[in-house]
Amino acid sequence: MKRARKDVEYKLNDLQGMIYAACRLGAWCFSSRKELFYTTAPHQQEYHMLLELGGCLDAAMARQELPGLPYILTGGLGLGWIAEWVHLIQGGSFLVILGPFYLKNSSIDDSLKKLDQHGLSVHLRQNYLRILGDVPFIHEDSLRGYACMLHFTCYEENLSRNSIIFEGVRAEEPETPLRPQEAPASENDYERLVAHEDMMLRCLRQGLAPESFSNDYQGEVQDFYLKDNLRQIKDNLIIFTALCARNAIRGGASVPSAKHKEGKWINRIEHMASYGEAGQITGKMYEEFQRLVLISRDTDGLSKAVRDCQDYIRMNYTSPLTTEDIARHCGYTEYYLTRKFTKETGLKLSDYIRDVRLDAAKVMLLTSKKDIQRISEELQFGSRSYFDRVFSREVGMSPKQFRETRGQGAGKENA
Amino acid sequence: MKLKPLDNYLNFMTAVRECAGDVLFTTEEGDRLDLRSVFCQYLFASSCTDRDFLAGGRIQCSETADYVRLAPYLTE
Repeated sequence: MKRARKDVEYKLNDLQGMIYAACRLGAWCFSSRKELFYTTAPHQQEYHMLLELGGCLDAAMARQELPGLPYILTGGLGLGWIAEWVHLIQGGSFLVILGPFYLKNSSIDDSLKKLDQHGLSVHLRQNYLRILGDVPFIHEDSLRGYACMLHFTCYEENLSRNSIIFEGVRAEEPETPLRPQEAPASENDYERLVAHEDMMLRCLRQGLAPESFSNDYQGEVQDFYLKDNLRQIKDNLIIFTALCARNAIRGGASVPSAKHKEGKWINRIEHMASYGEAGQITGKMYEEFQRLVLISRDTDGLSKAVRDCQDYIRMNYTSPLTTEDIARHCGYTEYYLTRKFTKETGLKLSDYIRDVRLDAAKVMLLTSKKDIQRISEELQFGSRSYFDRVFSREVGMSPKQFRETRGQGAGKENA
Repeated sequence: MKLKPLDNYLNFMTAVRECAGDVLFTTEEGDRLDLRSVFCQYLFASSCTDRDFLAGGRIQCSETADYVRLAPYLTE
């Protein structure tokens, strides 16, 4: 049975769009020499490699001379593909493939277990999950339905669902450990570490100072994380910092103060150069969050003076602000107001002004086309270089990078 | 040996599959991928557009002859 190319292409186009919209199943079209004509799948390069490496492309190619029938091919790690050759009246043929998909709901869990067993780096794990995490799980019955639809689109012939052929292409070979030079951390180590974290977080919520816990924990952080690599230590500390911030907020710390501390410490952790700094950072970070909780216990919310002060700053951040001006406006001495402000919010007055201006800068960078020099002048940073330096230190990237990455380049500066 | 920056690593992986011995890809973060195993091939494939990650890794072959086979894709 053969078909005219234009008839098939037109109908395939509709089918591909419909199937992708229904279940994110991509379509692929190959020549008889394995050249890819086009695909509607995301992660084209990665999935193309998976199709090839799993052996499914070769298995489909081997069926070129057979009458057109759809096959469901499953390769390594439970990844599957539906394949069918379209033979043309004009001569020649092309291969249509739908996929990848998971046949078993547990396939992604199996992959996760493998990742855990091998103790892979976070970077590699993230890449793997980013790509494989987008592969849909599709029930076998639905797959049979899609295979029948593909065949009908190609040949206008109805097939029964039971006539669809499943074929496992390649058995997985036994694997060698991926990090044999490193013994995996024992579950006991991990459980002890997590138990300590839980205890520290509980204490933090109550504003307690678990000195011994803290010291022990720092030792355990070192013991446990030293078996790992620097990136993983950073990731773990960043998570612990975020947990501390949340628990401090639950313990009564103000959200802006806790979030500010969280951002500051995450930035510090990101710039950590060696394992040795991990314990010290954990201790200091924990103390600061603890102090925030204690401050919140001493005062029932913010005083009117501090709220007035904050309101004044938010309304006048584009003007040159000095602590003297603010104190005068609020009716206090500079000495008294700055101390009161720090005590209640956990922030220096100058840091609060800087944060308000940085927030305003982010909005201006994303929503306007003003050049960065002008934004730094309007927000009273004095100079572009100082603005760059402060922004980079607090946000972790330069204003230009922030605009390009967060704003998708929508408002490119003309500076 | 390091991997050359390539537009597409499919041909490299095809060449790896034709190698006689083991081919290890060691990342900067200490991961060691045996590129002859399917799982490691999938791991490698999932990072094939992460150019910096691939550029930082090293290739080691257990058979000297395999370096010749992979020479078009390798650099010092």
